[in-house]
Amino acid sequence: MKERREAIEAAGTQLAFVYEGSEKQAAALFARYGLDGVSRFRDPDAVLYRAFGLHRGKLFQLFGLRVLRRYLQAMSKGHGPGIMTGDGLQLPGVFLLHQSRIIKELRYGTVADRPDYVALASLESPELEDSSPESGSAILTPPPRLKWQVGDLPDACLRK
Amino acid sequence: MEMGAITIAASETFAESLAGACDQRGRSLAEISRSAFVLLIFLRHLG
Repeated sequence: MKERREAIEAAGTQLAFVYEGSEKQAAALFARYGLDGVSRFRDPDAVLYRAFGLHRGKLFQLFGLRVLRRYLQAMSKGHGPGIMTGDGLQLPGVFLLHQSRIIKELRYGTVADRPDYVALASLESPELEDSSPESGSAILTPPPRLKWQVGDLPDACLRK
Repeated sequence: MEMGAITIAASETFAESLAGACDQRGRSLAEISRSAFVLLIFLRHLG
């Protein structure tokens, strides 16, 4: 992910993450993957997940054959299971934002999907890294028609 | 709430959600996206 971060940032896009687990675990994990300093948003109540339309997965999205195969591949590369914090049933997603608008969005079809983050960060069409027929389950949708106007919304950041 | 936890205010709209979401340095998602393209990755879980 460190190499991808460099490519994404070289393209002028800032990387940020949303997670549901503890800040302590996130700090350790992000440092381990060379992502310390990257903006991260702790969302224990999944408020942002819901705001972006990300929901909990169905059985086949979480435990299907593709998921099992991906899990075994990860295990073979030394990425064994750790202590899970957050909602293991939550489906991930990736969004390109600018001025509070969604420019691109990709919602996982199953948890085995592997989006091409660098392509998503560019202003060209994103693709999945794994282009096998089975991988076509990730859902790429055009940005929704927004019901609100980008204006001078006050930042309600409670840590300020 | 544990130290360092990020608080996201309850909000009614998408825009308010972005304004209320704050990173570990206290910057809101709306503020960051105001001047930059942001690739926002939602993780399934940590660990």
